Amino acid sequence: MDDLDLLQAVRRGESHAFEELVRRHERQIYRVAFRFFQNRVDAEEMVQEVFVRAYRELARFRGGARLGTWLYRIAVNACLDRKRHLGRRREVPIDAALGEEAGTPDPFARAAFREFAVRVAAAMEELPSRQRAILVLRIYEELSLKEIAEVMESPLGTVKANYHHALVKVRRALQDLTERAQTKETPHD
Amino acid sequence: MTDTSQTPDCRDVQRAIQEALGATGLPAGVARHLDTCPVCAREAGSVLRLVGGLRSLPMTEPSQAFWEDLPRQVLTEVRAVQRRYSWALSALAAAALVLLTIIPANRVGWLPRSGGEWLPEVAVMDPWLDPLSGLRSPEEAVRIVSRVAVALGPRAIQRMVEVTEEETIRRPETLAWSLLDSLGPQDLKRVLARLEKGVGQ
Repeated sequence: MDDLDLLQAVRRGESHAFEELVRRHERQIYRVAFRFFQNRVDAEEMVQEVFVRAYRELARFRGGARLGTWLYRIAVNACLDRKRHLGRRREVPIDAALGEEAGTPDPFARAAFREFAVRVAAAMEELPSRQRAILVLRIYEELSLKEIAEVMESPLGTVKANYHHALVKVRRALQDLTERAQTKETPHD
Repeated sequence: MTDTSQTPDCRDVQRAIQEALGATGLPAGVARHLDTCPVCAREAGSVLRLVGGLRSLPMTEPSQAFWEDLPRQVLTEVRAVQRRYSWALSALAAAALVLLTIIPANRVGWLPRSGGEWLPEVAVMDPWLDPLSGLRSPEEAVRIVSRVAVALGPRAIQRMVEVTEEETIRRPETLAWSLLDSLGPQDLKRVLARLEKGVGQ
């Protein structure tokens, strides 16, 4: 059963169809929410919120966009709303796991990885919400800028400009770390 | 004129690298440029390292129980929202009815706008609204909603629904003010004219 058939079944009130719809797209929504908020607790709440919104707005989905795109749109809007509600955080609630899963027994490498994770989290937190959402969709979801424009319902030019601004800011925030990594990789003459 | 698709300048190349986030998908002209320009090649390496670093950050997974319970949790929340929404709409409609009924048509121009201060003539109506915060009877709500719906017309009803979704539900009059504030004088005049003719009674 494809997504559109599934939607028809949900509209007919078949609850198993809605369950299947959630199952198909839950990971996609979780990934976006996790990368946006950078912690599991907010991401879990957002997944639930997104599907509640999706259920309520099913009647308005006309099938012009792919279901996945439509759900991305709901997810991004929900993230932006929640971010607006939360305001600016003093402390970035980065998951401890981000610093622990460096995949190496070397304590120095682990410390460096943790520093990188914390700095990324801080840099993302500094970004305006829409720029952050665009960066998440491009880098982690690997959507094209055209697809992102469709998700965000924004002109492609605006999305491109926001994306470049976001990337410049994150690069600047991590410049010393990436330069350090580059120096390590490049052998001296 | 220079053909930029054949010989892109460094700025164009660096933007293309950022947009492509890797070697795949780069226009042929850009790829050729990278072979001959060390500055852009270094930029490409820097972008790739950054993106690689960002993607290397692990993602904490929810528990298995979270995934298993998610559809049920969502449906429970949907039903709770529907109940709250139903009450809010009823309360809003009731509050709107009272407001619209007691505001004379010639006072429409006096209504407070967003960001403005309440005018005394409007503020004194607050006591009228207090009893409505206790409205919970479905029969009463349906009766009032029906009457208000006829008087307001489809456009205003649609706006009322939107306001209900936007507002944090605290008191019915909060929603009613938002509704009145959003309808605009022309809509209100139309509604009041209908009410005066007794359409909504």
